[in-house]
Amino acid sequence: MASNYASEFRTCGTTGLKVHLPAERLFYVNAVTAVVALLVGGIMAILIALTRWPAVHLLPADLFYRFLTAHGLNMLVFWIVFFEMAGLLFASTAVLGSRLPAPWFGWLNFCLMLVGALITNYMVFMGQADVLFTSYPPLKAHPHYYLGIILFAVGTLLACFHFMATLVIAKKEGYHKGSYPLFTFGILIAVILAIFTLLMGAATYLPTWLWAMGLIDGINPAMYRLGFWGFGHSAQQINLAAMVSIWYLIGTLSVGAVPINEKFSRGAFLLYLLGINVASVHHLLVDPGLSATYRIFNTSYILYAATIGSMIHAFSIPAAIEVAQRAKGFTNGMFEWLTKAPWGNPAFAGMALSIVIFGFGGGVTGVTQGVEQINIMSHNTLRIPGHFHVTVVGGTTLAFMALTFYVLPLVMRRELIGKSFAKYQPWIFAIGICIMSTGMSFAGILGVPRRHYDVTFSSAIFQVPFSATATTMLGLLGLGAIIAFTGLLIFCLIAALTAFFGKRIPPNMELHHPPHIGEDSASVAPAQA
Amino acid sequence: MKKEKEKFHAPGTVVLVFIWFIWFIILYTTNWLALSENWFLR
Ligand code: HEM
Ligand SMILES: [Cu+2]
Repeated sequence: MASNYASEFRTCGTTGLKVHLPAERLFYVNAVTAVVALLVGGIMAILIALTRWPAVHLLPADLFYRFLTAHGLNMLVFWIVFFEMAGLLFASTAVLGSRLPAPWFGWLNFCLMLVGALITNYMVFMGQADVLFTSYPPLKAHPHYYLGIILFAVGTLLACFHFMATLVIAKKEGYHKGSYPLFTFGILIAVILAIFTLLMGAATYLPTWLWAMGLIDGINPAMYRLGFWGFGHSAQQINLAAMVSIWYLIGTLSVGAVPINEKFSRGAFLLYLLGINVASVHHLLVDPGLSATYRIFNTSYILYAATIGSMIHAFSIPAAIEVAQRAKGFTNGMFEWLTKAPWGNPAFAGMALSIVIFGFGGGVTGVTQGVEQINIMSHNTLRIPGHFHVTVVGGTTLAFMALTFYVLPLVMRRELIGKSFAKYQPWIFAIGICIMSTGMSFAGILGVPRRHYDVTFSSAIFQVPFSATATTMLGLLGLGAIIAFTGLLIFCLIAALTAFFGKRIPPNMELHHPPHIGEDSASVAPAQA
Repeated sequence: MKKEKEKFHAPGTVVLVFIWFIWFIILYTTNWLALSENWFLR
């Protein structure tokens, strides 16, 4: 039965992977949509950054908050999630050499997500939803805003089930045998987290939607915050699992690194599953509605489970790269393996920078600010965006960009346009983000609030003067933003030009029958986690 | 098992781990120091 699909596969000339063409088409639309969202979010980013720079102070107040909402949504939700959907397709079909069980279902999910994202964006840009991406009540948006997010989330949830179904099919029909490769395993962990996350999102957004329509009287703001971050932070853990999986994948693709101890790495992924949902409370560390014991237990204890997981990954990957490089003969001194690494390969450079920025920037600031007492100093200051722009931007987004440089030729079958620019892109983006985050963090330390239109209080009755250093730091924020935005534009340009105009690499169509058919179809183990 | 002395396969990474660890300790203690200066006991 499965062999009916044998003619729908091509063989990748570089990696030898068997790629199911219907999955590839879905991959393509998800990835292209992701890059469009990144571009929209990026344009918003530069506008709000130039507003936070007091010397420029670009936008009027209403547009600042509107565009800040659009930035948070298009970046953190639409760019990241559409890209991850492409990742799910890749991890479940190409990596396992499997077919996609129901392409029409994939298209249905994609359409739901696309329509949802369009509705939400429309409401935001029409000025009907100036609630920032957290939409804390009593701030209330137009009901369609919530509807859009719900449609998007339903599409994502269905796509997660489709992923699970693909894993089952891969085993049942004999496309794959034995345990899943580490990359697929990591993505499976991300999907399990995603299902939890989306259910949490439903529990939060559905009542809020009813409230916005006037069907129920009110939403308890404290409950909302708890539910929202059960969704909002868990979503970051998905990103983390996806990012780490990509680190492993690029390590393998670029220098042939093999995980030092695969069981250990899998165990580290399991720590993510264990630690994070509860640790979401770090967003509520100064929330008076919850007891101190609850908050401190969740963050200062449970949070470290996830942290240890990340530390295992962040050191085992460089170790794997070092071992692979030493085996190639780069054995001089401590660091020849590193200096002679393929830095000219944008995927490798992006991955390496992503590890460094995430580890040295995001990880340490996160653990520090996750301590309740210290959080009291940093809460709602620019230190918070300073922290997450080195996790989800310098870490996750950079890793996604890096992977794209492999995806374009290998999955989209297009020759890269602008190879020489691609070489510098990760560096420009990384340096910009680091400068911006430094500016944000130090401005925050000096007390500058986040999400604030005018910290000079030019038309206020009471003056709250900030030091000249704080103003300088906001200038640094603006400068870094300009550099990062340049890097982002180069990326979008390379991706778009290549996806639409790159020279086509003809597909190598080979019949692909499930290699293990009939061998152990009895012992179907859908989710080994 | 092996007669020869066990050696690190990834010594460079071990150095990186220590650099990272020192960086973390500096950052973490600086934060507590800042807290103690801003939030004194009366
Ligand atoms: C060129 C790249 C980027 C620049 C220049 C940039 C700049 C900024 C600035 C200036 C803020 C406002 C901080 C404040 O006033 O509180 C902000 C907020 C934010 N950014 Fe970015 N950003 C970039 C990329 C990203 C990416 C890729 C993501 C997510 C993947 C992201 C996620 C967010 C989020 C979630 C917020 C908070 C929004 C809110 O407070 O409601 N940013 N960004
Ligand atoms: Cu969080």
